[in-house]
Amino acid sequence: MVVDDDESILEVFQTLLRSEGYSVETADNGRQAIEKAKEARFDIALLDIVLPDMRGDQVAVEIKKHDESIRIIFITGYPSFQNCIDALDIGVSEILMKPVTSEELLTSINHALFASSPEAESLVF
Amino acid sequence: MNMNLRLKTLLLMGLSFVCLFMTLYYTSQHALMNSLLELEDNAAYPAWVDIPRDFHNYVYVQSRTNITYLLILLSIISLGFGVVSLLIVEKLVISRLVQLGASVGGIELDKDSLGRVSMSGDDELSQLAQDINGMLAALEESQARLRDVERMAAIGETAAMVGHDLRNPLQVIVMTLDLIKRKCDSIFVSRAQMPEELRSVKGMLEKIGDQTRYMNKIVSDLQDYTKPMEPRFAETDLRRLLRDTVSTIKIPEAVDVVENFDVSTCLLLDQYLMRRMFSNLILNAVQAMPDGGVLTLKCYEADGAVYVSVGDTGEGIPEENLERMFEPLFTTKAKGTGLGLPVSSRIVDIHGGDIVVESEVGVGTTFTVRLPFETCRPVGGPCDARGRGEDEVLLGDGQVSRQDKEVRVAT
Repeated sequence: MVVDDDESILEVFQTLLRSEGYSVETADNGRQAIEKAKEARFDIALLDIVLPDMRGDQVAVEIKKHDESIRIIFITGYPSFQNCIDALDIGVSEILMKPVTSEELLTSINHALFASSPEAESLVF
Repeated sequence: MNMNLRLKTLLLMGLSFVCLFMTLYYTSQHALMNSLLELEDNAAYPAWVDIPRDFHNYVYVQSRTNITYLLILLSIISLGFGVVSLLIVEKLVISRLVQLGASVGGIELDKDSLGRVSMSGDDELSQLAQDINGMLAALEESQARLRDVERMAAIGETAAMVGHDLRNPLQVIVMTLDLIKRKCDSIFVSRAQMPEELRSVKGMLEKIGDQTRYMNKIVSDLQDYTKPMEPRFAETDLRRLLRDTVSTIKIPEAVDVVENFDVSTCLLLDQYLMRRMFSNLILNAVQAMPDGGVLTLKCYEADGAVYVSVGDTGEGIPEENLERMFEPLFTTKAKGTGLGLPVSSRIVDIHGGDIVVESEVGVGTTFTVRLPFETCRPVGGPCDARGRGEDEVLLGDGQVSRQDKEVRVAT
C-alpha cells in the first residue's frame, strides 16, 4: 500500500511497482489507509510522514495494531530527528528521502521484505 | 533633568552660603556681647583706670562695624569661591553629564551599529562612558545573534516548506524519468539496437535528471544549513583528503592546478564535512575562472595551526561584497543558493577554525582556512607512517548532501 497526499506520486509509485509485478493499493490520507489495512492484508506500506489528516507515524501505529507483521517504510521530504525516534519506536524498516529513485525504492522494499522473511511469497502492497 | 541638577547644585551652594553667613554673624554677635559684658564688669579694671562713660558704647559700635565689614568681605570671598566652584562643577561634571546623556539619547537602537559614546579624561565619568560602551558592544552582539537566529528561523521555515512542497514534484519527475528510461530499455534490449533519435531522447532525459539533482541539492543545502551539524571526528591525512577532493571535481582544461601540500601531521577532522567544505571552495574558485586561469591549493603549518588556501586568478570579489560573502542566501552567481560559504564557514567553525578571504578585482581571490592544533588535536607524526586515517576517508560524493543518502533506522 502506498500512502501519500500527492496523487501524482501515488500514480508513479503504482506504475513502477506494478511494472515490477507487485499488486498495489493506494490511499491519499491516513484514515483511508487505516481502513484499507483493516479490510485487506498488506506486506508493506510506503507511508508519507506528512498527511492531511494524520501524521505518518500515527497511521503506522494504527496499521500495526491490525497487522503486526506489516513492514513500514517512511518516505518524506523532510525528516526531523523526532521522526527518526518515532520510526525507531514503531519499528519502521527505513526512512527514505524524497526524491527517491526507482532503484533505491525497489532495493529498500526488497531489503524490508526479505531481510526478515526470505521465504516471503505472493507479496501484496 | 539637567536643569534640575544645575538648580540643585545652585540651591545647595546658596544654602551652604546662608548657613555659613548666619553662623558667622550670630557667633560674632555672641562673642561681641560677651566681651562687652566683661568690659562692663568694673572689677575687671584696676581702680586707677578711668573709663569714660560712653566708652563701652563706642567699643560696641566700632566692633560691630568691623565685624560687619569682615562679614561682608567674607561673604564676597565666599560668593567668589561659590561661583568658581559652580563653574568647576559645571565644567567637570554637569556639562559632561549633559554631553554623555545626549550621546546615549542619540543612540538609535534599531540600527546594526549602535555607535559609541566618548568622554575625555580619566575619572568616574569617563569610566561610566567606557562601561556604557561595553554595554553597547554586548547589546550589538546580542542583537546580531538575535538577527542570526531570526534569519535561521526564517530559513528553517522556508526549508521545511520547500522540503515538503518541492520534493513532492521532484519525486514525481525523478520517478517518471526512471519509468521512461525503463520503457526505452525494455523496448530495445541492447543500446546498439536503439535508434539514434531515441538515444538523443535518452540524452535529453539525462539532462532533466541532472537538473533535477541540482534542484534537489538546493533543497538539501537549505535543509543542511538549518539543521545542527553533528561532526564525527576521525584522524585524517589532510593531504590525502585534499587530493581526493580535487579528484572528484571536474576541473576545466583551461584551468591549471598548482598543488603545494606541506603538512604531515594527522588532524582530527570530520572528513565528510571537510571534504564538502573544500569541494565548495574549489568549485567556487573554478567557477570564478570561466575563461581559465590558475587554481592554487596550498597547505602548510604555521603558528600552531594548519592553513589550507584555495586561490584563483578569476575576476575577484568587489570589496562591498567581501563582507557579505558568508551571509546566508547572499550570492552573486546566477546559479547559486548563497548557502555554500555559510555552510563552509559553519564546518570550519565546529573545528575551532576560521576562514579568511582576500580578493582583488581583476587579480583573483584566495580563501584561507585555519585549523588550529588546539581544537583539531594533532595526534602527532606523519599519517603515512602510521597508516591511519584511511579507513574512514571519503564518504560518497562531496557534492551530494548527506541527506541525499537514505537513513536506515531499523531493519
